[in-house]
Amino acid sequence: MFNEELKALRRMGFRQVLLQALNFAAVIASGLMMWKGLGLLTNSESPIVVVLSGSMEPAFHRGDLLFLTNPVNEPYQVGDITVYKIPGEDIPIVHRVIESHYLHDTPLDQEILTKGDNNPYDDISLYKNLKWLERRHVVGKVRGFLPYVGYVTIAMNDFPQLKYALLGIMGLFALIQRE
Amino acid sequence: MYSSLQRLNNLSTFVTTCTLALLAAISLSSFLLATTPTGELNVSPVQMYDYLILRCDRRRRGVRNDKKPPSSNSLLTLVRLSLSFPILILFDGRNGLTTRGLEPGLLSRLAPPTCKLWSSFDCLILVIPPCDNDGDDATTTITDLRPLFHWNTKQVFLYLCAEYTNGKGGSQLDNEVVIWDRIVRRRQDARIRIENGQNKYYFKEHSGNFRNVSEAQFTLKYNVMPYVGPLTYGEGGRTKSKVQFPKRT
Repeated sequence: MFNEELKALRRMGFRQVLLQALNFAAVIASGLMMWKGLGLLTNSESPIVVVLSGSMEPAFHRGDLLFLTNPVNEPYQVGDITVYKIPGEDIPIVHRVIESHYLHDTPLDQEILTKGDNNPYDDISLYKNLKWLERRHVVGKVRGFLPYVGYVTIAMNDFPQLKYALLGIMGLFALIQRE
Repeated sequence: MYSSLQRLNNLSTFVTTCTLALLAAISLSSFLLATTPTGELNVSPVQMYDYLILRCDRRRRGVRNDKKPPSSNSLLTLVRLSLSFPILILFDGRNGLTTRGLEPGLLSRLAPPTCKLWSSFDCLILVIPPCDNDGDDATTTITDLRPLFHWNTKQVFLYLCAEYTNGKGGSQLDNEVVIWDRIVRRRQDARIRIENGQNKYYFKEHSGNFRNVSEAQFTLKYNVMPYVGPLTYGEGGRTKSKVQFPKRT
């Protein structure tokens, strides 16, 4: 199956192979630039997240994609759906703000309490040692929603072989493509 | 001519482009179809209760519903714990908070005379008063959220929040607390009328008691969650005048 491709590869010569590799690197770099650029635009370290748990059902199910922003100069309002990470844990949690307290003069120094819509109790048991959530723990608030698309990420996390297989195939195609 | 791989490539590109265009159009329709609902809100604070929680939690809240009746042993344990750090102790083992479970007489029977710490925690029960005209649909106060339900509405999340401040001047703390919420999934359920309602969540003050709080403004807000696209927020109603918290006697 790959006979013609391998022959073409040998015919190309060293310089061409290098050029192909450079093209590949350029594609990767521009992808990374777009992701980081989006992060800068939204002021959030991870502007697109996948919902991992069912604690916000029936609105968000596992595998839904969320678009986040992190507004620079306004405090989070009660009712905003925020994605936060507890220091020490690396799972982002998507829950709604139900309490917000801040000093009138420093609205950005706020203390937040969250709760999932589908949970009967608030999140205090998830906070580990924290009494209140602070702004620095919050990755962003949810602005947009796209159903089901995130399932690819969940599948790749649950089956790492799928991830390596996909990357391998993409790498192969990138190297042997002639255009 | 074209290889099958090329045909597949073209086809998949076309399908993806069409799907994305459709999703973008649905998302944009959210902006065009957005309307404002109407509603009125009346809230009156009824009583302040001291809390005595039977099943305590090391954190400030973390309420667990304990179906066991109070026993003198458990009370003793709690008293010891409450002396080392302040906790809110929930008395009622039933679901949620009912005024029946917190009769002042019942509380004083259980509270040991030496334990004073529990009296510094106050919690508020709010009751939304009944409508004046019962049965007369034309003039009763109803929050009508039906304009929010268009084809891109998956659900509407309604929440009642209390806004108040604590303290004055430089140390003024702005607080906003959700005390009740509801998920409305269908247009038929979108006319909200609550009589003798209660707050769903315990209304606890950040500092621990309601002594220095200002009057509160209660607002009914909503969040429209779409099938695809942007989430929208809005306000369904607001109390016309600020509500005072009752003073302790």
